[in-house]
Amino acid sequence: MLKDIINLLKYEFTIELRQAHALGGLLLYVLSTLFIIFISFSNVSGPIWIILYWIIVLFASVNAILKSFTHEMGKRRLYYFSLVNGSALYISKVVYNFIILFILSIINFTIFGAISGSPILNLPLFLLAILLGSLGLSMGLTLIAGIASQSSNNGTMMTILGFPIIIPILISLIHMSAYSLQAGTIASVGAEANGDIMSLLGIILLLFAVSIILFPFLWKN
Amino acid sequence: MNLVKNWWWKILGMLLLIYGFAAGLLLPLKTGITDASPFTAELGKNISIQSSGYNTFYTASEEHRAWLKLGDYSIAANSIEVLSDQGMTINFDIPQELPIGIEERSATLIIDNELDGTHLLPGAVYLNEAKDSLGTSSKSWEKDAIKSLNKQEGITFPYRNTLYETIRNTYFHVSLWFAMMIIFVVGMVNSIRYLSSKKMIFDHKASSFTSVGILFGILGLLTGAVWAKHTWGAYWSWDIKQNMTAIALLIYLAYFVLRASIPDVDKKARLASVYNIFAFSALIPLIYVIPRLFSSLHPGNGGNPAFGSQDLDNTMRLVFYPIIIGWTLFGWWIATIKSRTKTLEEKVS
Repeated sequence: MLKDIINLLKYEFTIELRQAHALGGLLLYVLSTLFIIFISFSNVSGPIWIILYWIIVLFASVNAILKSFTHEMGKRRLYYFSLVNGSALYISKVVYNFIILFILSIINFTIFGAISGSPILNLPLFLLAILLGSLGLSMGLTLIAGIASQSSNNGTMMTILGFPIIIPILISLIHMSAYSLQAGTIASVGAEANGDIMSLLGIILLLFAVSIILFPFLWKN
Repeated sequence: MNLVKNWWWKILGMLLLIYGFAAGLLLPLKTGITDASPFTAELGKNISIQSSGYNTFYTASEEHRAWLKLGDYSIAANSIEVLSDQGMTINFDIPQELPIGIEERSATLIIDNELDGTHLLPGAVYLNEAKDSLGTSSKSWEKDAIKSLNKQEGITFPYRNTLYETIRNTYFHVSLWFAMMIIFVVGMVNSIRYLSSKKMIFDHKASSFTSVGILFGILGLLTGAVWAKHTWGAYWSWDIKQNMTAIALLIYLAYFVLRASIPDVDKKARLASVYNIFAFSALIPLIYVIPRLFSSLHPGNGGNPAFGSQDLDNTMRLVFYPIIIGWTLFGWWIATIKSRTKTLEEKVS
């Protein structure tokens, strides 16, 4: 099982690096969104900065995660199914999506901060939010992308199915990131931010447990 | 005889709903005080309070008693003049000082008579220090002096200031949400059964139960909006509870969009079942975790009283629990008819 996962991950990354245009496209997507935001808002205050940041990450992640399934339709999918079991495939997808999202969020944070000046004073807490955010988004959206990629009109389907489900995670993330507008460390933010962190972890674990059971059903006919 | 055997639960559901509607709409509220003026008094002075009762019959009662209460301490009224069934003027001599060890200044007005029982208005009178001249009152606070209170006869629902008659909406709003959750759980269980058995009948059941759940959800949202208009002041105030329930409905509406977008029957059933189970587990944080992180106007959040022991008394339970079962059985009936129709349609085509 572990060997399967590692092999699948290697395969994903090889494909990703070979088709560099896909990843480059995502980066360009983030850049052009940022550009639109700074043309529309000349001045972005702290709380708005955080909301905009997470909305950009949300849209980027919907595209990124859906992409991880679309190049796997047809005969190749059947071939995979005969090789590995569904749970291993799910874990490899989640880990891959998590890594991509994490890199994307960090790049987004760097560029966003470089252009507009970052209002984040509690950097460790915000980095934790990015970590939990990319984990939560990949957990919540991977199964949805699996469903959407099998339906017709998968881009629309992905947003219809995914957005309502991702809202609890997004709200907790925005709520939690708001604490990073004050200077301090992870330990100094106290019980309220801990409540957000705990509820995020709870949601992530719940979604992971349900997805890993459901994914094999999605995969086989 | 056979008909009764198969139909008993449908008849039971209808009877429970009729009982719930009749009792919920017709039983009167307990007596209460809607208003008392003036709402401030000076320590040591005499004050005469005009109070308006709700559902009271003051002229029919013989003996009236009234108190102002601060903590465990109280003073009795000097004189009470009944003006009408709902109006009375009560005279108090406020003592020179607040009771020892009490800092609360909002006194509760308590009225008691043998017909209407005890009714009260919390925070009715605010006690200020005397301004111009010192008061002349010689009264003093008595501890635990309110005794031998009367009880109102008959079956009534609790009276709550700010809620008034809208407390009846408990049976048509809260109960609908309970029934909706039960129906959604049944839908999800049917999705699980479809995935484990791949029998089409379970998918028909799952989609039928889910559509009934959406119907109940929309009705619950509407009754909630009407209630919010009367207690919060607006049909929709972007309260976190309202938002989360609207999102929950979006999740289930997406379930039907997903079903409509897949032409292949088996694939549709499989994907829809997977999504239904996943959506239900995503619903749990949406309804039970996230609202706790935010302040809300809704009971049970941000220091607002929930419908716990305080607000749901035994009389209300006697209507509330039956009507939940009534809604559930009613929804179950609709869902079985829908799923049978789908099975027949499938056979025909």
